[in-house]
Amino acid sequence: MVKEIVVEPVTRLEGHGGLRIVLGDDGKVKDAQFNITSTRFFEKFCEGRYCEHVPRITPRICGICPIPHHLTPTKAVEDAWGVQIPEPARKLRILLQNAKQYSSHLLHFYALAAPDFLLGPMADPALRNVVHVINKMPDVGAMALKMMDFGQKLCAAIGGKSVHPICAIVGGMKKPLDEDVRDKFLKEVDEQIEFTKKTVEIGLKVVEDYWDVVANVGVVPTYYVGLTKNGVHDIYEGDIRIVTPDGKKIDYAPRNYLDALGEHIPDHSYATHMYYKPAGYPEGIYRANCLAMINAADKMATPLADEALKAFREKTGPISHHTFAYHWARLIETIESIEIIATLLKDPDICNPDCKTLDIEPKEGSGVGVTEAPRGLLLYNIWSDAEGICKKLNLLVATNHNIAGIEKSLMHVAKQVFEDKALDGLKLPDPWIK
Amino acid sequence: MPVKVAFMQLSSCWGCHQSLLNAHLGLLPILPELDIVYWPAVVDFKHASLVERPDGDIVVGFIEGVARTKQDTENVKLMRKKCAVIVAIGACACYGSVKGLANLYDIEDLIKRKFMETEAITDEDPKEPTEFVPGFEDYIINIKDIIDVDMFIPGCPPTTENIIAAVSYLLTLVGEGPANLNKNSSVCEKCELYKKGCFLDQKMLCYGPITAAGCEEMCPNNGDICYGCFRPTNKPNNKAKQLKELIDDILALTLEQGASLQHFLDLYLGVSNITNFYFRGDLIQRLAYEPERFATKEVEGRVILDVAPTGNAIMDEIIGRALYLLKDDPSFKFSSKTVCSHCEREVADKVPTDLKRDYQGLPTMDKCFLEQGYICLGPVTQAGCGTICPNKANAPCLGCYGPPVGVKEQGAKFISALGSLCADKDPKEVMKFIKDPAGLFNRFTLADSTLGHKYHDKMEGA
Repeated sequence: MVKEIVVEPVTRLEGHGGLRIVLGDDGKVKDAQFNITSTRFFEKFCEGRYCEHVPRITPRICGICPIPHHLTPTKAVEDAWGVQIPEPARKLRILLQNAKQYSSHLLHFYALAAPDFLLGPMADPALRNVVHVINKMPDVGAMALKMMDFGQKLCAAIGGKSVHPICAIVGGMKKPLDEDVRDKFLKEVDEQIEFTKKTVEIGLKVVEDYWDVVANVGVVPTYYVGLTKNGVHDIYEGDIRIVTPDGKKIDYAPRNYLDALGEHIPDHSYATHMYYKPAGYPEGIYRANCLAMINAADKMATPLADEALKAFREKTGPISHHTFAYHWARLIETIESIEIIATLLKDPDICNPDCKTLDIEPKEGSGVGVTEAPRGLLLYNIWSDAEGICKKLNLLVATNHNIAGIEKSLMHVAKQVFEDKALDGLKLPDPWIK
Repeated sequence: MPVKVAFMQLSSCWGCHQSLLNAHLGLLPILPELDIVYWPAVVDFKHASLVERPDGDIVVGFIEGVARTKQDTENVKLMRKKCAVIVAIGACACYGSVKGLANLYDIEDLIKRKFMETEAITDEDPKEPTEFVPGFEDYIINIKDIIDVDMFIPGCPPTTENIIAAVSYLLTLVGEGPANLNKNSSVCEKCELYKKGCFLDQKMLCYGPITAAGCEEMCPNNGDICYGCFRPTNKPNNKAKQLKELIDDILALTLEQGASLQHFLDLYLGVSNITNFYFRGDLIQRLAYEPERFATKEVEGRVILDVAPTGNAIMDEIIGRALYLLKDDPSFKFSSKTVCSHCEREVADKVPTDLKRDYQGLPTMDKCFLEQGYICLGPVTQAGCGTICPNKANAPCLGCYGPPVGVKEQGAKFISALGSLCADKDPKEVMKFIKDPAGLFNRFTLADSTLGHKYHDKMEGA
């Protein structure tokens, strides 16, 4: 008898997906699928829209990371039309991107991931959620909420709205940050740095508690894709960097993305499978998101984060294939984002009204914009006609870069669980919340 | 007792959830009131657990997103079966949002671009995925055209305040009410005027006979009529007949009578007159938004609206008659404000200078966008958002809260407004400027628009 194990839907996930594992008579894993069950066709219905309006439609691709989905297409149109933006606008965008990174990473750590670790994998599913965590650890819960609140409010202060911002426009930003608003955030930022340090302490304790799991479950060699600028970790601009499973790093200018990134259409998922083109499919399957970014970076952009990266590498080696180390990698990126926020809040340029290039002409041609969204590389390729109407749009969105990698990890772990019984001897800590 | 709630996420972006979660510390007082039985984004209950629940078991079901896949449509129907009250939350669930723009294309074209044509695809013969995926609907159908929806919270996303206000309101509906509320009695029972000749005896409208007791009869004892603020009683007083006769005898409302009936219905059944969400259970709101949804019937030679909010015949007839009288009466007022009416920008009623695209120049923060030549949907968009875009972000309104009360077609309404604004301009020039009317004026409401979706005329033998 063939046995099917179905998880429908995968919970604590933004988006729609199910898991399907097929076991044969012999107990061997025959198939492991990650089925993404929805797509909305943004790449088609943006055709015919004004190019400058595309960034006001595409944030609706993702309500958790609408900011990269606002900034990246704006950059793509600027690339197509050959528009330069003033430096204050660039700084404001970087601040906005990092504010989003900060709140999104914390949402992921505390609301989506933490219940698994704080309650333990054997906990009652009815209780395994952030509401229960807040009830049982009210101090940590309140701190987590204050951190997310800081990030989201900063997004709203710059973006207009934190969900589906409207501040960026081809040529720069609609307005600078008001000084009195800036001062409010400046007052709070030191406390946020302390909160981040506490969060990292909690995270590292969890990593230590679960080290047997981190080191032995889901260690899957793959390629990685990330964004770096001159080799330094960057979430706003730079080159697409591919990391091979044995740690070789290859950089591609954004406009050459098709040399590096291939897309395979699977028969069982609306989210397609991305891979490193020169290596072929499925050999070239890569992963994206924070672990990929950490693997891609020669160094972090800020001092505390760079120290954290060094500590990480001491434990995992120069390239980490540990799926469970994603959480640790996410914390390293969180540190970097709050350090960048603290630095930029002190930069007078973010309140400089010279934040928009005034004289702009649409141009026929194609443009590429790339950023690193909280869940991976985000790429927009837009084709404009001479009047600035979008003729065509290609989207390679963050989560999409991870689908094939997730499925590969799933197959690996399914074999570990069902064939090798690898979970049996694992050391699990006493749950923090019982 | 915490109230059972479920959150269903259709094809969507998670933004409405994020907007709710943005309450952050503000969530702490509300969470203990909710028994979350399904919310894949946050808790671990699986789909099967929702299917297995008895019908009507869940008190409030929130639906977010559009029905893009066949699974979405099934989930919409499933929620209707399992939940007593269905709330459409966000522009997607209310109007289709930007995802409704897909209706400008055939599903085959959408599928072709996504799965066969995009530039990075390397397969020799790529095909639409069909294994363990649900398949697509031909076009986006509005949720309210699939099932009955009880409440609409518009916005892309609705503000945190909008969502919390709606949730709090719903919690008061299922709550116990004030501690001294006595539904087994009416205001008349202890009213000092009852025997010495009351308002009704003097042919004045007073709603005490059908109103629950517990208020200490402060209004009638102080010389004012009862407007019904303690809401329907289970045991109306005999004087309800007098009230009914008084209302039955009205042929055309005087201003005073109209105001009295509306004030009564507001307090007796309604949500306070705010427009951040639309609750169909509120008969006054429904009378303003969708009067055509009421059926009429005749009782004892009088036409009334066919409603049954209390389940008590005489009370329902009083309410039905009151609604009927208000329906087409000019004294019925329901204020629905537009973004413009809250916007702080200065309006000088000037015709716009040359129309501008948004990348051109930089608008000032103090003057109306339209007068500066930028397209802004404020005049045809319902208020409730806090005018964030025009006043905080220097960006024109995109129309995400949908049309205000009484406007069925946001895009057409804007085109008409633009026509009068640009009356002194050459229509050809204006038309040349507007290259994408659906994307500009129906960006959030195309799936709910009379424009419909792409059709092909299939002519015999053509």
